Amino acid sequence: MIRAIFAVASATFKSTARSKLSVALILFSIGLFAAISLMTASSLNEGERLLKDLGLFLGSTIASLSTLALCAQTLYRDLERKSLFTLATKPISRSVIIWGKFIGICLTSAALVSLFCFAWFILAWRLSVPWELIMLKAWTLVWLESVLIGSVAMMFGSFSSPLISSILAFGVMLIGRFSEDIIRLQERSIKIGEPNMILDLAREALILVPPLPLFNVTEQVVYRSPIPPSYLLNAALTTTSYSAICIVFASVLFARRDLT
Amino acid sequence: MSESSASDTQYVDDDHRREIAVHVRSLSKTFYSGFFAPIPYLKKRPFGRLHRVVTAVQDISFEIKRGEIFALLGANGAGKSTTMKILMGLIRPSSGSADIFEKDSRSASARRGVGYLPENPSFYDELTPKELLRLFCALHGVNARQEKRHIDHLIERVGMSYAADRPLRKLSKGMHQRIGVAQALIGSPELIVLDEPFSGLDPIGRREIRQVLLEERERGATLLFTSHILPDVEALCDRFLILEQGEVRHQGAIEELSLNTADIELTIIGESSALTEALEEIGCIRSSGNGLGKDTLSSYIVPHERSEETLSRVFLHRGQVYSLNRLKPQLESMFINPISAQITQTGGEQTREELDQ
Repeated sequence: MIRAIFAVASATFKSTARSKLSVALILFSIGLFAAISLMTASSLNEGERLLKDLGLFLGSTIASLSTLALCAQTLYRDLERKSLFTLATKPISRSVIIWGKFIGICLTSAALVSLFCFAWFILAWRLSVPWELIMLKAWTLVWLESVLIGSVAMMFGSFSSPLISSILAFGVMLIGRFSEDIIRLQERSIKIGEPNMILDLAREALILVPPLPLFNVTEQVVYRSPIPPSYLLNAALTTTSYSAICIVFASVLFARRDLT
Repeated sequence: MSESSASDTQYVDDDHRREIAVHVRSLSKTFYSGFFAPIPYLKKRPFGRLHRVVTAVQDISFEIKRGEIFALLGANGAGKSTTMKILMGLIRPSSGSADIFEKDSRSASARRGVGYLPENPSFYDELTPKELLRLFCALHGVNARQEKRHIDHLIERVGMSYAADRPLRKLSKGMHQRIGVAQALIGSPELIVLDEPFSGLDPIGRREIRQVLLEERERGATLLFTSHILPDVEALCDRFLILEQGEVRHQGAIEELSLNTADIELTIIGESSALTEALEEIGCIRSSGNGLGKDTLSSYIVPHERSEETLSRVFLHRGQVYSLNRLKPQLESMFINPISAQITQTGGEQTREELDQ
């Protein structure tokens, strides 16, 4: 089973890495980092902060959105092109396909984040920003966040179209990223005696939504506050457990689907 | 005494079951579509009948013996691919069951000794044929040491050695078809299920793939396939089943059809009025002729069961046999008849065009 999962993962990675989408993403990233370079060059004494703040924000957003898009459409695309028929009729359970595809996309995401990280360090070197381990930790968290969002998209993609699953996963991503603001606003609305039903619902939804602020360490990176290994471990465990639950759900739903 | 006969029956049943590669029992599949389609696996339909219902196959039953080549025939939309997809576990049946080597076809273990080629196969375009076959070898659990040799052998068998390292997106439809056949043969499966294996192939390709399939039969594999190319079906299969609008129209052995049941066209020289009378008396139908006389040619359609009697009557009345031809293969006429019936029922050119597609 493990061999089968890694065979599917390897094929998915090769297939995605060689696709036109990857080339487009690489070109887009080069353009983006060129723009950040220009912005940092024109800002007075704020270059380092801008590089850290904007670089991490854009890197994490692009990595998360591209992983989301890949996970949301992979099953549907394979089904539409009928390439799933040959895969699903091999002597493996459908969960092997789901796990393999998810791991393959996680590897693609890791390659993309590594590319961002490399470009970011080049820019940092050009701006004479000293290299610190915390930056590497921040990019690791960027990748973990993209994996987590990808697993949510994969779960929705196992039973719906790419558009619907992308919208749902994007909704989860937005609520997750703004969870702290939602809590603050909801508490304030109660405090001033004007309860807001939408905020109340969003607060309730946070029970199911992953805690994405955990992966945003821009502040620590800008102010050079240390990120202890336990923090990184906590983030890794959160991603692993949340993703595992999503992928198990995806496997169960996909196993019951008619592949027509 | 009764106990012994019961145990004998049990042994006979067990032997019979062991001989059967595929067993399909009362298989039906209904698709629901539209916005208000019922949620799968929920028996209640919250929106009543506000959806489209399509019955793809209805109450299909058949058996395929080990080592047999079995063809599923029928017009487009007759339910052939749906039947194959149910067999391969891609679709769940609405009712009935399908077993492969005595195991429920939906289980992964049933597919262990099965190779499948879908209709118009498509693969990961960015991979090369070798990479693709490596993936499928891993899924079939082919020993990693034997993998390379097995892949090279398969690629050679389907005549794709020259393009083994090219990305699949650069290969033609026929090449995809050959790779599809190669992947269906991974792990030397006991049952090979092929949906339109000759589609997109040129005449040479068709001959080569036909040869590969015959070699597989020699090896002892069971083959189930669909095809619209009836000469290939006749050349390959032992038994066939014709589906029409999701139901079984006919099933039988190819040999019975082509050897024993095809009508004959008999052309004779020197027809006399007595001979005409004698032939018409036993059901022969005069199809052409330019009058009576010593040097005239006339043709008759002879019912297959009256062929010997017809010839003896011809010789008795001093006629000469000019030629004797088996008429259009029975399979083709059996295949076309239901289609003609559809055209007659619905009428119009559109239906004919749809069927031609």
